[in-house]
Amino acid sequence: MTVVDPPSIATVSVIDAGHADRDVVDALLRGDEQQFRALVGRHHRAMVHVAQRYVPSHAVAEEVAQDAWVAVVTSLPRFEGRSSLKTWIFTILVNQARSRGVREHRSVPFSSLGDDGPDEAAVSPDRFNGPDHRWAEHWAQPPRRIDDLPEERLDNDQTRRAVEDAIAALPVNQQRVVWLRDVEGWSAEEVCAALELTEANQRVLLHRARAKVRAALEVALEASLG
Amino acid sequence: MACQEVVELLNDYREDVLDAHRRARLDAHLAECPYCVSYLEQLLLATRLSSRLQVHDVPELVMASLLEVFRAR
Repeated sequence: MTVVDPPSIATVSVIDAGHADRDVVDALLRGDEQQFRALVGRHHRAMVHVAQRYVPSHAVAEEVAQDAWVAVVTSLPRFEGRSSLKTWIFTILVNQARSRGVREHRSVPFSSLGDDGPDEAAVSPDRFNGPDHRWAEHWAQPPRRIDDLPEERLDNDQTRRAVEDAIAALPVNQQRVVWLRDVEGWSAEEVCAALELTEANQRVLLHRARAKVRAALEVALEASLG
Repeated sequence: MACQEVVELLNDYREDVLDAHRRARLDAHLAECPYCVSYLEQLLLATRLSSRLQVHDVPELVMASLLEVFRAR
């Protein structure tokens, strides 16, 4: 069984991505609206997520994302391809979000990570044997195996809904990280840069977020299995 | 290593940031604990389902105003 995620495609095909970016930018400079729609579609939601790290509300984050698109469009002739188009767009976004945050008197530092509450266990302690048990701290109520289930029992409307709702219910810092990592498929490095997180912070937020999403998924799996 | 500790380390395991010693202990645990393997499989499934949530719909009003900017550039 392969347990480590494969390297992301982004790191494997950096050179191809550079060519693809150039093609996209050239098309945009020619006024290709389909390309522009596609680009906005690809990044807009992630931009709102990232902007919210720096500003006080979703509404302001949405404004910042739209302002960033205006800056992207007007700066496009100066895109040189020294970074990927995505990195370039998100650098513009973060700069705008940060200055907007300052204007809105938001202090951005890591203290905001404290919003996510105290240390939480990935799995409720009562699912493990107590300290007096011969198998202390081993599973008392283990998770169900899933490798014997057909794909349609694993991936269906109920399980997807459970995952979506669990992500929506996460504390904001955890939600942002898991959204960018697992929904958008960003690398840890990209997330740390855009959200100004240390690697350690990013990992803790991701660990807690994924643990909660798994817990919700487990409930949905159990329910569907009866 | 006990399961309760393992579940707290599995994300670092996936992210490949554990030191060699801990990684080896975790590998050894997983080799003989089907329950923790199931837990890991559920974690991976959660991520797989998350990646399928990706939606590229932007509110039409937002898209319309951005297109105006694009046309006027």
